[in-house]
Amino acid sequence: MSAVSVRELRKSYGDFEAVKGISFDVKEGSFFAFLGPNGAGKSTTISILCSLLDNDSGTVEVFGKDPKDARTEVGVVFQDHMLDDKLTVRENIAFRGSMYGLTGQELKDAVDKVIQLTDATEFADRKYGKLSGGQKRRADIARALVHGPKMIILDEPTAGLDPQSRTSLWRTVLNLNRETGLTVFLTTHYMEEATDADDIVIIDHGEIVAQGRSEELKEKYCTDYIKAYPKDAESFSKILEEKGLEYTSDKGVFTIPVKTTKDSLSLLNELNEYLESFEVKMGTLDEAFIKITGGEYDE
Amino acid sequence: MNDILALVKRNCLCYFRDRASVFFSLLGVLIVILLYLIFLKDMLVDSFMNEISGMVTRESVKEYVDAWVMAGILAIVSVTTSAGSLQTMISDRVSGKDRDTMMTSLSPAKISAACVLSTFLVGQIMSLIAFVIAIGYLAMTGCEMSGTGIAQTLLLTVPASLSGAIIVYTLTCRMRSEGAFSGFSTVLGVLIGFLTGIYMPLGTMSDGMQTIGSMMPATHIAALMRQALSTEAFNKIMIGAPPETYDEIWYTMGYQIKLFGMEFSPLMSVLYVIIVTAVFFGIAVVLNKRK
Repeated sequence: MSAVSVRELRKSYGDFEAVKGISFDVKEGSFFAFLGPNGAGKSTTISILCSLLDNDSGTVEVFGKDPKDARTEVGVVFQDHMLDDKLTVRENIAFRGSMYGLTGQELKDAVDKVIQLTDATEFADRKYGKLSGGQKRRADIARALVHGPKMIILDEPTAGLDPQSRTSLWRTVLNLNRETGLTVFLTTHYMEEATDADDIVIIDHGEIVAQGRSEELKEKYCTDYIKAYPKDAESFSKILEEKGLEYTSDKGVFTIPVKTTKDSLSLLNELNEYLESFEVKMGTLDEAFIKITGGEYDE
Repeated sequence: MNDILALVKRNCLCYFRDRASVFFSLLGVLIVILLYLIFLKDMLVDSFMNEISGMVTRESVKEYVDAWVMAGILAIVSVTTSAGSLQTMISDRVSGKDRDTMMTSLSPAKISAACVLSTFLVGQIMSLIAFVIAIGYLAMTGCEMSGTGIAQTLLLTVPASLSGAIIVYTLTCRMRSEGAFSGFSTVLGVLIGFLTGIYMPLGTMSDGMQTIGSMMPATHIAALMRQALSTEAFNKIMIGAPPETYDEIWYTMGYQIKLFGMEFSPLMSVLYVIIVTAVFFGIAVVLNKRK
């Protein structure tokens, strides 16, 4: 069964079409990344999956059910912090747990378990408002897991975190996916965060513009290239033109795309005598993302 | 039920852990009492002394006016303090935090019920604090009160808080801005004291104001509380007054409400409060359904 199945989903706000008929599936137990620049329609899609927003047309199923009936099978980490500043992490999580109908020992065990799973033990009894960004995020994830959902949705969870917190948060999420079989639905505008995902869907202006595994996307959209620093720029550009090579130049630095980094060896041999120095660069997913979404890439 | 109670407890904790907010809510009540003591008291006492031509001492008139004002203040404490607790609801909505609650198993109806319940609890707790202060003050100044009267007043704080919570909740349940809400609660805090005839007897106002004031459920609660808390003191200063004068002042001071030519008995006032509150409750249900 699919954790999420979306067909021809559409949603408009007045004249503005936020989501223009997208379709995708999320396999149960997989790590799914939903990528797009700001305003691409990610949050709208998530709100519909959580039944916080009604769609105009198309079908959405979460674990084979209407999103309204699947709320308790989903845990959400919203982009903004949702817990109460004046309450401790433990109180926050316990209150949410009881709102799912957990009571007594069952509730206590559930709270202890998620605090441990998210490495939040250290600050579990501190007020949420006093925590650092990374600690808050851990508490958010613990709260999203307290009722034992089958899928966790993370809406740009690393926005505003420092690199260390980001990395350690990442490890936690990956572990949850790999070890407990939890389906992870991640939205982000950092392509690098999607590297470990089983499936990636890239959305822009409300439409799906690319989808596949990260290697597939990389192969399709990434180009490796040589950065060449020639002895004489003018003659160098002539030679490149003679050879019929594509290139771009900027202040005497030439960028020449190659199929694979290995292909650069023969080319560099040919150009050897004209070169002062060179670098061979592998294309990154981030570059692919910028290419796919037409350069609208903030941050 | 446990799920609702969890949300009620969370709302209350969020309110009471915000010490400054609790402090200013209480201060709001205390300031009304202080304003009365500093500015209004002498004026009210003077106008009374003129009215009842020297048959009683100024001291007993003072005691009476004290009891009359305290009863009125106790009737509106829950209304003005309920705003503090509803603040949590508004800021949840403005910040989008309510989405997280909506993701739980709680239905929208239960979420609203929890909101009303926590508002009621906050209003009730604040009423009890004000009750202790008011009764303490009256006892200290030697005002005559009956045990039953005090017990009745205490009991009346419950319907007062409940109707206050439901009505204020209904008025604010569609607000989507914290600015609008704080403006509303300021206006409410200022207006309610006048509309219910707490600072100035209802009978001294224009007919139009009297009608509007008499329609407020809080005015009926105030009338009931005045009857419970200040009838003894009233009788004491009315000794020897002719029955017509007694009745006239009884109505003027808002012990009993006349609305559209109908005289409200205590039971009718209680029923009126219940009916108006139920109507507001119905409106809230409809408003929440249409969301």
